[in-house]
Amino acid sequence: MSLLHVNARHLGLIGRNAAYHTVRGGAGIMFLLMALVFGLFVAQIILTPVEMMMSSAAREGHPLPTEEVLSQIINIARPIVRWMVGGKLDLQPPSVEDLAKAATSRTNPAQTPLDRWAAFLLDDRPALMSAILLILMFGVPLLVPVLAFNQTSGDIQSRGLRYLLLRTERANIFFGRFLGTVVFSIAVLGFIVAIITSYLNWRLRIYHSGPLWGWSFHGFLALVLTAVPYIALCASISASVSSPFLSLITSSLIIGGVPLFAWLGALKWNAVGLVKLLTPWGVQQHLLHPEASHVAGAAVLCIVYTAVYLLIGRRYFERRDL
Amino acid sequence: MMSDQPPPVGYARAPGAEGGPGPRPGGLTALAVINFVLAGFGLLGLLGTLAGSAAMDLVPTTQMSAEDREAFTQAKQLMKDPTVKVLAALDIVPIGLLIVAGVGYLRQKKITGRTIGNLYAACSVLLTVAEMAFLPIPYGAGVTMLSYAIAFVYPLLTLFFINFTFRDDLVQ
Repeated sequence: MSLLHVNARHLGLIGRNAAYHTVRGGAGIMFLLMALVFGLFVAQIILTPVEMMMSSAAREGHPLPTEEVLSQIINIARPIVRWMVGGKLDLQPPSVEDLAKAATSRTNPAQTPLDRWAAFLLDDRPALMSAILLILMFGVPLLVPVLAFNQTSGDIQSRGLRYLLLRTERANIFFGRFLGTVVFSIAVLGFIVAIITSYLNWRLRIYHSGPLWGWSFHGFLALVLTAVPYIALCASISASVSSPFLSLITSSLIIGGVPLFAWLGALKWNAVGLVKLLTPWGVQQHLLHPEASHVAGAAVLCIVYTAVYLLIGRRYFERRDL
Repeated sequence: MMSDQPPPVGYARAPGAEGGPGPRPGGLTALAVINFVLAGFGLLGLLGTLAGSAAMDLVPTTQMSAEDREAFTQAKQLMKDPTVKVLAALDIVPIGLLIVAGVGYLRQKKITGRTIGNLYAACSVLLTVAEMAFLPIPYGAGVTMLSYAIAFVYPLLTLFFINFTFRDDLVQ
């Protein structure tokens, strides 16, 4: 026995079994299917116009140079990316001044931080991958409850945990199942990012392989860090609710509802906006920030949120009737 | 030596043990439900495709601009293309197999579950490949390799799940 009554061997054993039974239990199948379809749809929405543009030019006998394709894509994507990292949405077509400003974006000292952030994502990194990652980072928290809602609540309801408690501590069960769920989600997210990157690399051939795979790996780590606090939140809810269905509804409502409530409330009264601090919503896009300090800060925040949720969940799980 | 004693309360019977494959895993139930949902959507799509060409004849084109009218005429011709009709009619095969396999998953049957599930996956993949090769998609319709990749997702997952994850559960 050691810190928090956790035994590494028990933790590994329970984690492995949890990851395996995630699929056999159905939650993993639903998550895998929904995440794959969501990821591929997002990629399709972003990549289809580019493919159409390239094939249209090739069909007319004037294949577009890669720089020309990229420049057109970036001009379309810039206002959307700027909005996704926290700016205001302005979907007016870019004026000549805007295009000139964009051309000098990296040298213009009068730029706002949001402009610099958008320029980093679109000009310094593979723009298409940045756009896909940004959308995935907003979608993944909403998908997580499908995978993580039933870490313990089903067994609490059926009283099945009593047989495990004869052989191990409660903390091992709680943390082991959390780890199993995290491992499964890492595998699924890695698979999705690998498919999209491979498609971009071998089908479109717009970017060099090295920078593309490097940025995709960064994005994959950012996606994992985005998902982990929400899995911990679901673990906490799952440990405190004796019904898997109620756990799913509660997790989904908290993850989707808290940011929405905070946003709507802040329109009327600014202080209500602070409610959003209950979940790490809004932190995730900083994992793709140009400054390393921002990325490190966002990563630390994700880990702190995870730790807080896990400690609350463990405390409840240790004390409740099983 | 098999014991005459029943298994202890709270322990699932091991897969393949005497008396059947043991309780049905939740994942298999989820697969069956997904099968029924996809079959429902497939039927709706099939009806839409078959009714589409008839419904398009009823749409008045006099109010349309010349550009819209040309695009509409192209779409109408596409719907009347025999290849489209044949491929749409063939869609009924995977839809039927989805339903039969779904029932097989629920009853944990080897033939109607695993075999028909494999057959569905093979049919679905072949049909998607045939659509890629023969469907006269009008230029600019926004269909790319990624669109087809999405169509491969469920058949390939089915192949993986019924031949690896739930192999020992579909044995009756």
